[in-house]
Amino acid sequence: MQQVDVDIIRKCKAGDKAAFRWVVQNCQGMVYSLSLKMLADVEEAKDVVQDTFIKVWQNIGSYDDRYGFNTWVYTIASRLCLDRLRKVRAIGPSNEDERIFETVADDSDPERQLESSEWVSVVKVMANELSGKQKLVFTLSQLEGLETDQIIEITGLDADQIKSNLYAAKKNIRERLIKMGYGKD
Amino acid sequence: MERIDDMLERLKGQMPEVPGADALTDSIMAAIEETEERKPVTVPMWLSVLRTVSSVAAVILLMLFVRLKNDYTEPSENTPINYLEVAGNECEECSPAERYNLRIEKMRLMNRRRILKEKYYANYDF
Repeated sequence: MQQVDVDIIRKCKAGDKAAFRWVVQNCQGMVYSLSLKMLADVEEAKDVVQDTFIKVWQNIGSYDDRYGFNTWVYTIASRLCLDRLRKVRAIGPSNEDERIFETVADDSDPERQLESSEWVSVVKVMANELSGKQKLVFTLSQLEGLETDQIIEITGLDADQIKSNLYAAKKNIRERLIKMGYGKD
Repeated sequence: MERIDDMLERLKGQMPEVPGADALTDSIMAAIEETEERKPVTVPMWLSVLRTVSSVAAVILLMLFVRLKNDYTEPSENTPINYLEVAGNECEECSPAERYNLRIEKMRLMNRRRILKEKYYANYDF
């Protein structure tokens, strides 16, 4: 994940839109990644990316340089994702989603990068039954690969809460996948 | 179980490509421009204070006016005036003797006025 330079942030704070455009170009990927994995919907994810950067621009004056910029952006994005999850009724995985998931699970190529549509299916199959908090902790930890310290900052949860939510999420996913026949090697 | 763990490990840190990344950036920047255009004009502090103070003053003046209007009762034309009373009460700081003198003076005045009226009407034959 590319860290945003302090000078760029300073320029953004001064109202430099060209600098902010650079920030958007470099950070929209991570916000899209988080929101796609949280919401399992490409258009919803794009909407969250847009709302996140509008909020970032409106509040950049109050951003504290001592904290990581990416973490701050993640915090805004994760709150927006949780809001959307509360409003939108989750649709369960279709047969097509399960078929795509099987293809992804059976593919042993470690270099393979998933497409957005594949991510939608994978997340729907794995994390459809998780609560918002569990989904957020699971996504940040397991799918985005963030450290616990960062997750604490982003979610506002303490280490124990993160641990318990992650445990519950993993347990739920394992049970679900075992039911689907993925427990056997 | 290993199969699930392997898959999770493979997915870890993978970042899906943003479809139409440039278009998304453009739409974000356009949305920012739009929100800035819609941003309400900020009113200077002194102006908002002035507005508040003048509003409060106007309300106080209005209340005062209403109250004064309620307190004032216009004397009716038919109400007889007891000059003897009035003359005595006019001077609150006067002694009883002075009040008495005032009443007498008032009575004299009234008598003079009555005599004048009688004289005036006596000259006309209605």
